[in-house]
Amino acid sequence: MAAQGTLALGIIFGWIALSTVIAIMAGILKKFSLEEWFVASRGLSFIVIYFALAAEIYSGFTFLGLAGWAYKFGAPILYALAYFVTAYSTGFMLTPYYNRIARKLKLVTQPDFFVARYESRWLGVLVAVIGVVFFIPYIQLQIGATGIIINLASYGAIDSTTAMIIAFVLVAIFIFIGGFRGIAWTNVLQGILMWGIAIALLSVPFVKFGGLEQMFKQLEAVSPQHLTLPGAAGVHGIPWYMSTLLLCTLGFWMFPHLVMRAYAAKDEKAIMRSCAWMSWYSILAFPIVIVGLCAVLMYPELVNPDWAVMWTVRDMFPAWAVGLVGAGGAAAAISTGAGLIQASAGIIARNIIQKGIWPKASDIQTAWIARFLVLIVTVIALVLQLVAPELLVTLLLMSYSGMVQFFPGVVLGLRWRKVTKVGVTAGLIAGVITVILTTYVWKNPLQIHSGIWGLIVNFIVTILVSQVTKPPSEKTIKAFLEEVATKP
Amino acid sequence: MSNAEAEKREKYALYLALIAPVVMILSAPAINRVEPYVAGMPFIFFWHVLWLIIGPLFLTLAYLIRIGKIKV
Repeated sequence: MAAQGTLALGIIFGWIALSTVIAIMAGILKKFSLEEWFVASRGLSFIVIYFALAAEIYSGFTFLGLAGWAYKFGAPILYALAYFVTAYSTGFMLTPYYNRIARKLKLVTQPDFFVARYESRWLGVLVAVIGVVFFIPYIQLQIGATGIIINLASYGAIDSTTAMIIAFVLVAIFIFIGGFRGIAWTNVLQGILMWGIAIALLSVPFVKFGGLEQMFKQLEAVSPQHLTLPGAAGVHGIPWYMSTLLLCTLGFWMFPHLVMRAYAAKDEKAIMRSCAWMSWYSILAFPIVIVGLCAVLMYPELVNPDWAVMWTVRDMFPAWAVGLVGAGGAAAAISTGAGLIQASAGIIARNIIQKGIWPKASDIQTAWIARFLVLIVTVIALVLQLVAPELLVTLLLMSYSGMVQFFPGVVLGLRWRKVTKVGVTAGLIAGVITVILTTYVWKNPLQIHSGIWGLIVNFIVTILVSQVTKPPSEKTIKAFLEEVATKP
Repeated sequence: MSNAEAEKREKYALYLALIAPVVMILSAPAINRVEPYVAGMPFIFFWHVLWLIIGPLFLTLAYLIRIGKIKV
């Protein structure tokens, strides 16, 4: 076992080291500036932005969590396959405007959009705080996933705490130097690896059960609840599926790091093209779900459902393949983690410090602050993961719902002349409070996701309050609404 | 290219992009079934795999129309 573990580990850490070197090279070759570090000087071509987005979107959750959910609940996980398709439609519609407006008004973060549209830096601070608070659990999730993957791929030789620390120290270093450009290039590497793994995983039901149908028939005999909604736990019914899918479809492009990637594309055509092509990428989530279902039959007694993929791989493939799958999984978790860390640090530096408490900070000072915040955010997330993982699980429950509350401010800001600063602020606060209530006090009333309840309240409050308060200057309204109008 | 034509392209692209979200969300009550098995999968699984292919197809078409590669 020890030799196998060493080989697998060698491959994983070799991969991480290679990524780090590439990221650092990519970063060192460019002159350091605010726009470079935040949005790669808005110069990323289609192919780079494509791989970058893909690797950030397909995370440690895609790798472990999809199979874990399939193992635990069965068919309800199909909501994730569904939103991997539908979310790109939303992206296709929204990201060209993000890109166009950001270029014109020199925006570098998502809260910048609110600052510019509603002429209020304090609304920007509010958006930044909400974004970062809901981001931390996602960073922690990626760190945890990396720990599990490296621990299992090393056949237990490295405990997950050590693995998490080593991996994320490297990550912090390469974001510090490379900024977003560095992340983009490591993601190209990861994207290539992910495709190979998905194809390999597809062989599992054929080798173990003689085919897909045989596997499903066996599963039907053992646990028929796994095959339809409401799933094995009995709580993920049709209203849950529909509201969650709607929520993910609308909310996906509200995530601050994805918005920043839309800014980094060299033109709107590049980002639209990425959305169209990225949707093809989603098919690779399917083999992972299938492996989760196979694991129900193969290992009925898994302590942690998230182990399903790694156990299957260890069982069926030689040690070098375990190493490659481990490297792919770790790379998925790390690249997403890196993107989230870079975006959070950027948002704190730009919107809480430069546009909040220290308006005198120059752009280059802000960029340096962001760099150092990378180290601080990484340490905070690591410490929270080690000391208080339960706290973050609680937050994670409402992270997505919380993030979606930016939707009215963004969409009304693009389409409606009369929307006001006070309206959006009131709607946002009302939405987040509704999410908290429907997550912890009345849990998902009528089986409808808490985020949708928040969104309904948010829209109503935003529209009503906007009727009686003063909109921003005509110049701003024109700048935003005219950008939306079609241009030849 | 005229503005009217650009607007038309954008409109068609939008409709095409909306198909997948609208169909996938609204069809949920109808497709929540095991029988019939298609391509070795219970129907609900097959349906999702099918849309993992049709959805991207519509979106790619939408993109090509939007940039003017396909004339409308």
